[in-house]
Amino acid sequence: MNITPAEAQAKKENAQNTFLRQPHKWVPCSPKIGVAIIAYGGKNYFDVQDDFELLTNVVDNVLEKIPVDIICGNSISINPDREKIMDGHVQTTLHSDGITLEHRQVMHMTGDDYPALIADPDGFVENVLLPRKLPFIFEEGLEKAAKRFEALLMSSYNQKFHAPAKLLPYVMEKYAPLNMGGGAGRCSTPGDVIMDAYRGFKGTMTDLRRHYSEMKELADVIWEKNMVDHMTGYTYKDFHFPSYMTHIPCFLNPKQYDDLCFKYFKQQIENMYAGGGKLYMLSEGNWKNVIHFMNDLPQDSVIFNCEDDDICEAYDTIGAKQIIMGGCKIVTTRLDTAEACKDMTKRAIDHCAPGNAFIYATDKAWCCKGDCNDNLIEAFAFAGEYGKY
Amino acid sequence: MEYTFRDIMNYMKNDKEWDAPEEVRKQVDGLVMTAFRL
Repeated sequence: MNITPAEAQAKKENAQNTFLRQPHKWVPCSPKIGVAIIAYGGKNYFDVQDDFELLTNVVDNVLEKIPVDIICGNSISINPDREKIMDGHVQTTLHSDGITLEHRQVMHMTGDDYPALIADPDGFVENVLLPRKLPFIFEEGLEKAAKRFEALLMSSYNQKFHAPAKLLPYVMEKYAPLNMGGGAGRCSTPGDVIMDAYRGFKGTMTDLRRHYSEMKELADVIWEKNMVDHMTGYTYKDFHFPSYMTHIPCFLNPKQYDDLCFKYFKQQIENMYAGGGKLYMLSEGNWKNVIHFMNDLPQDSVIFNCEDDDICEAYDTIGAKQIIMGGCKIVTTRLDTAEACKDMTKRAIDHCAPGNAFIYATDKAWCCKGDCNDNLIEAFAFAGEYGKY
Repeated sequence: MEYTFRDIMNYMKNDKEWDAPEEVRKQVDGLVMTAFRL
């Protein structure tokens, strides 16, 4: 049964007041709609890819039992055809369980490549890094290579005709959450780009010691060339915000974070904030070295989803300045008792809710078999009751 | 083989046998980064 208009309105106001740090009636809960929900229903991605009724059955089986106040889009979006089309030369693959996405990081830039990349970023990517990454496309013949990329683009396009693409409108109509995702702009930092696109984890950790001045120079080039206007000129209405999945910050000391990330990040946030936006930030890893930087950003400009940080310590450090999200550790739901999960939930709500800007959520996405489980459902249901002000 | 990635993109842009919607054809312009980030 769909939610009533009055219930939908109450949910919307409650969520909006949380983002505005105004008094509200209950702590909003934010489930992360991901493929683990499909696994919880005993199915895999291939079972539901073209079966919308089956997909909604497994999703309803979870969402009907928990509060669905705020979501950030729909993370059930996989393109398993890409791997076949590219003969396995992709970094993200779908495990044979049909659920788990696996990341294989194979980088093609070396520490000696900085000067060439800095001098001509586009040319170096196209003419040097791309042939290193996909050598076979320059050996198989022009027509075959072109047909391969035509198939690749079409496979992405065809995703919108599969059942998961229709899930978000269904969830919005049935449960009426506030979907904070989908806001304009692309937020990232040069430091994250260096790690994700060019040097990988191992290379980046080495370069922080051996190529630091070149990293800083490259960060400036990436910023000026590709990022300076990414969050500029937008206005944000209806509480749709851009997202940022952070990767490198948890590995940096404060000076490195400032040099490679924050000085650029701050400009992006101030530009976005001028248009009325906030940033949803999945703060990967432990931010204890750099979390205090969030206090230098505009009031409530960031929705800080804690991953490995202790939620109460994060709240004590930045909770007066930014919106805090988290409190439910997936590993606890997987490995501990239902009672322990309730205690974890209670502790987070008791400590963080009094600031009027706390959203109950998991630390990580629901992306592996077992991430969605009975304890998780019980913890969310408990948060819905216990979190009433 | 002696061709560049730019040649592959040009082939796709001029491929009349490729039955793709306009919104997909437009993505050929960004194909370098799409391929690099695969």
